[in-house]
Amino acid sequence: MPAAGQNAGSDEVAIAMQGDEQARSALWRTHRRWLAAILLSHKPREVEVEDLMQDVAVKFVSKLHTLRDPAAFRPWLRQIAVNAARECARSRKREREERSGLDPATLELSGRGRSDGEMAKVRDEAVELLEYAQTLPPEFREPVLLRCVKGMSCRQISEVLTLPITTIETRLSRGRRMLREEWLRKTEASDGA
Amino acid sequence: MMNPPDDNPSNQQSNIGVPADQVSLDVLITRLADGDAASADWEEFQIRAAAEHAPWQQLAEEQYVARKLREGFAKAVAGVEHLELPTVNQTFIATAANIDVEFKTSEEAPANPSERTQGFSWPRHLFRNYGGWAAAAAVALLWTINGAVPLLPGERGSGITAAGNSSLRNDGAVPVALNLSADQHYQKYLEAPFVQELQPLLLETGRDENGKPMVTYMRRIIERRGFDSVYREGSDAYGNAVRIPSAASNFEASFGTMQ
Repeated sequence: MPAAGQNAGSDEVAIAMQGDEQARSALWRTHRRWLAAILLSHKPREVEVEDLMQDVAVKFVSKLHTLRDPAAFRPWLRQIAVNAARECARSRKREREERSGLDPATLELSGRGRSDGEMAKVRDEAVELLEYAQTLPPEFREPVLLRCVKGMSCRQISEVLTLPITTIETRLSRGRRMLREEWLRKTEASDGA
Repeated sequence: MMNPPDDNPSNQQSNIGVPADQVSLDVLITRLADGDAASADWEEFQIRAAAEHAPWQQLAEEQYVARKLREGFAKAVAGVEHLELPTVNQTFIATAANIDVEFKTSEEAPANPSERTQGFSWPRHLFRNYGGWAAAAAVALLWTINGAVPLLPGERGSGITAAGNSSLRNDGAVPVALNLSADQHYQKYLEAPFVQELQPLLLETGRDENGKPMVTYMRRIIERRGFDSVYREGSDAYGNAVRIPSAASNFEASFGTMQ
């Protein structure tokens, strides 16, 4: 990910905004991993992150020219991802409400609910921790998941979230504490079982 | 396993903020676990941990949890690494809630109409996973043909078929279905057997040989139908496909009961 504060980042954005496809693709490749972290923070549990990334990719391409300030690129892109995840969640909620009167068997035919077989898979500790991280309070979820992006520093996270670095560090450390405590609780529970 | 103190200036720059002796122990532990700690952070941690074992234990736990979380994250986003921007020489904007499609082009249609221009499309394998965004077009004729007209001799079906549709009945020689326009069919269809339509899935966009924008999409519709009678497919002495009335009790035997 480009180092924070460098003018080169804004220049690349400005070039991409003018319609340069190579610059646009390069921007996308640079930022897609942390975008995925944002989506993981906000998406409905049953939705695959790749599906939402496609929505984000469409909006990225179609709306990049509307960005007013290249320096605000990262927060702007983050908001697109958040909006996509929230819209998906609203859509899913509407579908669930509409399906609530249907025969449960029909739910198998309508979309991608998890099957019993999938739910019964052996649980991976790494996957479990990620799933728990996705249930943290919102202010902690994003810093914790963004920190998982390789090479992403607290300074870069602060640019994405438009928060002071000290706030990022505090929220990150508190979120991690919650994860530690949850991990310890589960470990002790399984040891005692 | 403890990270050694890090004198890397670039990492020290990332820790600009509260001095080491003033940060909370949690922040120190996070910096150390992530390899972001400066020498001052390490020294401060050792001072705080001199009196008790707990900080060391917490640091070990933090390192483990952070590593596992990164593993889980890497698994969750592995597919993202291969997701490129759609190929763009057209921009396709659609809404999920209605069937109106706004289609904008950023360049003119090719001079040679026979050239198919791939627009906003992705590799097909992504759509097997129900890549989700919306498109719409009129497809009323599809269900009209499939659902309203019973199988006639000579037509092939698939095992037991059902004849009769509570929403569209034949009134005389010409089936009602054939007298209605596509929109009328669609409105009748919305009364029954339609139950609900899920968000359609865009499969591909492009242009036809005349340069006209074309959209290929999948509609996902939940229907519920009752059947007046049940038939099974058989053949007569000449090998022609015929419908053989089947006892209603055979319905459960053939399809079971989904509950």
